[in-house]
Amino acid sequence: MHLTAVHYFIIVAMAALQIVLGPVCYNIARRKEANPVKWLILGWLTGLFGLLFLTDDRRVVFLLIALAVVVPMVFHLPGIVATSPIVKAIFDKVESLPPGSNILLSYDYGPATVPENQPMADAMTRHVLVKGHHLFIMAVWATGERQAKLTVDSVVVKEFPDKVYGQDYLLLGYKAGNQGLINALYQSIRGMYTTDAQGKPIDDFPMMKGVENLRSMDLILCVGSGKPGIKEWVQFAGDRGNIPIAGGVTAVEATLLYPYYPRQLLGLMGGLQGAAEYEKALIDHYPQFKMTSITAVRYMGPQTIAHLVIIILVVVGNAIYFVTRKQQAH
Amino acid sequence: MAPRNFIILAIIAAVILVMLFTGAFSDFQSLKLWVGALLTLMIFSFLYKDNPFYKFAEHLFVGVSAAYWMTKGIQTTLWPNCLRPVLLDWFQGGAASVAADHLPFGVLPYGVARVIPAVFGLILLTRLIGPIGWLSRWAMAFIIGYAAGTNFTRYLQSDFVGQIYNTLLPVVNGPGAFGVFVAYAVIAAALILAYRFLIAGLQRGAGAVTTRSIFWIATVVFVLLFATKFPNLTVVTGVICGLIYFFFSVEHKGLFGWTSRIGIYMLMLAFGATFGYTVMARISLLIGRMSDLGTWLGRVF
Amino acid sequence: MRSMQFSMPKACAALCLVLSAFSGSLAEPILGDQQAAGVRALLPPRDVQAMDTPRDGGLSLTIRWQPPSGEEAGLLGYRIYRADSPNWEFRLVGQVDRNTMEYQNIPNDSIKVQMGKEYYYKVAAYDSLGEAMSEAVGPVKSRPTWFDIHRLPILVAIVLFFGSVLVFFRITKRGKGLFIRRIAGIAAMEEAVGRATELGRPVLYVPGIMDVDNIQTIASMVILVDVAKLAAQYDVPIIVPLNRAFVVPMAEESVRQGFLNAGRPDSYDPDNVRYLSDEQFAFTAGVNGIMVREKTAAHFFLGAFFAESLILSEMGFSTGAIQIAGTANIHQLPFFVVACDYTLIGEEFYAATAYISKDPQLLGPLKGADFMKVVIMALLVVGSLLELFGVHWLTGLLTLS
Repeated sequence: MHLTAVHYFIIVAMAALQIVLGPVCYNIARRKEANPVKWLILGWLTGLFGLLFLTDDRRVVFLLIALAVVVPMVFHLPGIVATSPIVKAIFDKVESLPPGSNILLSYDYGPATVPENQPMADAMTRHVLVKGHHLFIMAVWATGERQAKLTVDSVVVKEFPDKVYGQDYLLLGYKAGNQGLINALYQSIRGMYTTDAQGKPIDDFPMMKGVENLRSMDLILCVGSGKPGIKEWVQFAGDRGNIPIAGGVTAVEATLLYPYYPRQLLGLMGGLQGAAEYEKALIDHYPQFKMTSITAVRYMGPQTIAHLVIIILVVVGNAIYFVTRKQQAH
Repeated sequence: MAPRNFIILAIIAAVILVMLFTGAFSDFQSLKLWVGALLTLMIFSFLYKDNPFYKFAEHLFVGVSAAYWMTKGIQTTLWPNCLRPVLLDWFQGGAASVAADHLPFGVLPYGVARVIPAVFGLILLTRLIGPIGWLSRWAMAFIIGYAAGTNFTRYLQSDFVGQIYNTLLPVVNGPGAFGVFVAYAVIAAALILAYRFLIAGLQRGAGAVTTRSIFWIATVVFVLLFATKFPNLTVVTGVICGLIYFFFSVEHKGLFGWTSRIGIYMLMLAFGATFGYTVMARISLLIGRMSDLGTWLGRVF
Repeated sequence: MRSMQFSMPKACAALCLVLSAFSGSLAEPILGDQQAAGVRALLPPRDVQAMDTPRDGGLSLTIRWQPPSGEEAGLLGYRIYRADSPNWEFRLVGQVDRNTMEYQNIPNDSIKVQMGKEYYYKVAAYDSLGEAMSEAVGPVKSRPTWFDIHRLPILVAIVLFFGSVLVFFRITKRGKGLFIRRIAGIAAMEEAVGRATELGRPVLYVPGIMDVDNIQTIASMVILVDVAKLAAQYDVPIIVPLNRAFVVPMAEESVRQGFLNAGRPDSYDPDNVRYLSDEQFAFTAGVNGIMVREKTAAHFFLGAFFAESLILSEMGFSTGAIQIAGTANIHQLPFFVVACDYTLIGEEFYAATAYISKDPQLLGPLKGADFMKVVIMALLVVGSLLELFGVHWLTGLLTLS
């Protein structure tokens, strides 16, 4: 990759930090009446890790994590991403549906979880539209409608100029009611949505012809980050009407939803990793998205490095804990 | 002026100067980027020490989020679902009701009928008024009853019967699986016997520590291989042992105690996975924030 | 002359022959051309059936058919027509592609299905040249299904669960004690309050951040009575910070009751039950402040918690206090397990309320739940063994669709 001034600055700064940490640890060790020479060498060898173990100051952890995230981002360090079966299941389902199928995409998240959820929503939108399906966009969260508009503006309008609003995609918008909304939509979409998000009667749109309720959908995709979310879609729509449900959630929610896979939930993207896996599958099949649908894949580099740092901290911390406990016991 | 206040003012003045110099006020997008970046840095400053900038950002967030949700609640819930239909029906006679439907027996148009849940909502607030606080129990009973009724069959279908159905799996499947299972069972028996007759009786010492370590590492590797080879059996065993852990009618002793212990180990594995996933989520959000800060820095420089 | 006379019958026969040959020759090229092209006239769909859609509340009708016999290369799809009577004009209600053999006539604004009204249907196969219409089928009318047989497992589960709860409720009401196993967190409560007494520092009890309509808050109030009783007996202050205004009277009542049960109503200090803030992290900051300023020695985090759980428990850990936590929010359990000395996991939290209060209304559901666990375990063991031998009877029984 082409190195710029910023990259060189960071390399020099990191090297300087590593060199300076030796004498800093030396001074602190002397003040704490520890072996200063040992800590001088440890400081040079382990850098911030050494400073952390010497001072026990949690702010060093903050600095470590910040560097673990920033440095890979600046150097565009890629992550190694392979699509897992649970994410591939969603991709394969969208692939296997015949063109013109009805797919509902529900935005059940807000700005707080955009880094995890937005890449999922964007990638699925690209996939649905490139396959020529009908995309119905709605939101069960009040903040979801804005996220949906972001996708429409930045993905649909820019990358799919041939797609016609009302014919290929439709923004239904947000309605209050949480799981009550899903319950009502199961009976009739027009009972809740008489107009689209812009106030136009939905019967004016060709793609609403023949679409009566959730059972008219061939697949329901949900991108969520809490309640109501995928769980409510499974309970109020999927299990009730045998409608295939899939989607993505923040990593916090993912473990709660794995019990539903695969019989109640077709597939699940868990967190940024899941989003990256879907993007990888999309790029492999549709190389035209290589430059646009790579947000989550790019983020996996810093994610991986940060995880490695945390693993090292956990392992070393536990080792020190057990050794200390043994010494105290003796 | 105290030195601390002077420093704060100096920082604010410096930031405003930089914003002016870099054209932050030239358009709304730039200003939005600057405000977002500055608030992010103010919140991050708490990592070093509590300070007035962090306090300001936190209070701003609390105030803005309270106001945002209040306006959202009025805009998306109160106005379209309650006030607008009631007012329209009142003044335009049924115009708000879908296809002019009425409550049964033509009692009230659906628009005006929404006054009833609105009244219940107001009754809920009477809890704060001592003498008539008992009225709120009616509204609360309605909410609880509705929630219980709506969720009851759904949870039973999806989370009870559905989950039992999902767990009915052939514990061993695939060609040659029985043979492999027997081999694994023999190894498991050997490990149990080794523990019973060899490991448990080891005395203290460097050799004992090494032997124990090797034994436990081998056991962990074996368990992982077993779980990978027989995932269905692992799932069914985990579910049953987990249920046994939460069984309160029998003391956890003997075989029951051992299966309960497996259950709690399974739970701890699940908690560890949840913890790890939560850490991943937080790092992802940090990456998002850093990305936005990077965009801001790119604009500034 | 006789040879030139025509007989009428012979003339007619000759004329008929000529005409049939002529019409045959007219028809022949059309059919012959089509036959030459390998295309024959479209046939209508077979075996058309119209029926009430099950389990839809009487809102729709389902029409099924089989494709026309023989290969229909030019077939484009099917059109479904409906009329109120077989002699009336049939109106188009829907259209599907050639691979679909079913159509559901569901209500929309223009073509309503009225419950209980009789309808007749026809299905036409169509191609680029025209349609081939089936015979009318009907009458068929939609009606709601009174009993959805596929939901029978749910009914059985409800009957079993409620039945067992009622049985155990009656048993406990009769005064017969029912065994509940020892729960480590409950046994540690007295130890925690005792340690606070030794250090001469107060106890902190946080009943979660949800409102009174949340079952975890109610369960927490039950345990608060017992913890307040212990605090009164050991003569140590108990501080209860609250996140919701509606919980304040309940918490005050619980603490007062606890002090009354210990025989020390005069020691109750209402200032120790404090409403801090509705905002999640403002409340968390307030509780952290109490831990640091008032140096609380025993912490109880029992109730519904969210993102603040780690902040609270980690701050409490750093102060050196003994901590007991309990919540049914599965997300937060890992943080409590890591940072607290004892954790009541999920249902143990509810079991603690039954264990402490010995209230039949709480013991009954606990025992009923235990009974259902036995049923579930039996189903899992039997079902898995049946699946192992390829018998899907039990799985089929539990399928809800």
